[in-house]
Amino acid sequence: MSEVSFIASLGMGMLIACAKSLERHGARMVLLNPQETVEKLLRTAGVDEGIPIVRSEGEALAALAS
Amino acid sequence: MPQDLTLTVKREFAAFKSVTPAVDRFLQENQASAETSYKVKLVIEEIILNLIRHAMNPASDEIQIHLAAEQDALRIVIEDDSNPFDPHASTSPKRDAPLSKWGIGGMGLHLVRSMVDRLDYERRGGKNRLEAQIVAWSNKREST
Repeated sequence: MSEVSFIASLGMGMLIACAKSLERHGARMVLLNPQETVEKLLRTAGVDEGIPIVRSEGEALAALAS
Repeated sequence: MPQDLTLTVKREFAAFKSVTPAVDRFLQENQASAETSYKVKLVIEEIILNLIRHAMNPASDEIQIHLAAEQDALRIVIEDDSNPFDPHASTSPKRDAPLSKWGIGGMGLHLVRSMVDRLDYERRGGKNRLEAQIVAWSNKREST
């Protein structure tokens, strides 16, 4: 996510749709390294409560393995 | 320095694309901070796309956007002539259900309410008038 400089509800809806689709196929998704303002918006919308936000690939793998 | 910008947008997705460059120019020329620029673009995208997708019985196919860079606040005023709709009345997304039960919408107005310092709605002359305010908006003012 580090290259994403702007996100609004349309983009968040796409992320949620992707995560739900993955979940239906037994997979999960995390959001790696969003920029500060993007992360603030994702947390404000509560997206992080269903799609964890992580800071490193190691953290991502740990979150996906749990 | 340009302190005002007024845009009229047709109520269609293709027309919305023309808004962003003009808003970017306005924000740059008025030395809006990066955070303010994000908030202004977010408010405009959420409100305008909401009006394009959901507004009922519009009298015309046009939406007006007015930006004013004033000393106390940057004001975003959006007017349209569809049925009355107060954005304060919409609910926030509920996240207590599992992801599989989440909807993919319902976040836009919640984000707008959360990101601005003040949000006022009124019905005036057959139009919806929404005014959002962002204070401490300028790089220039913050650095002086």
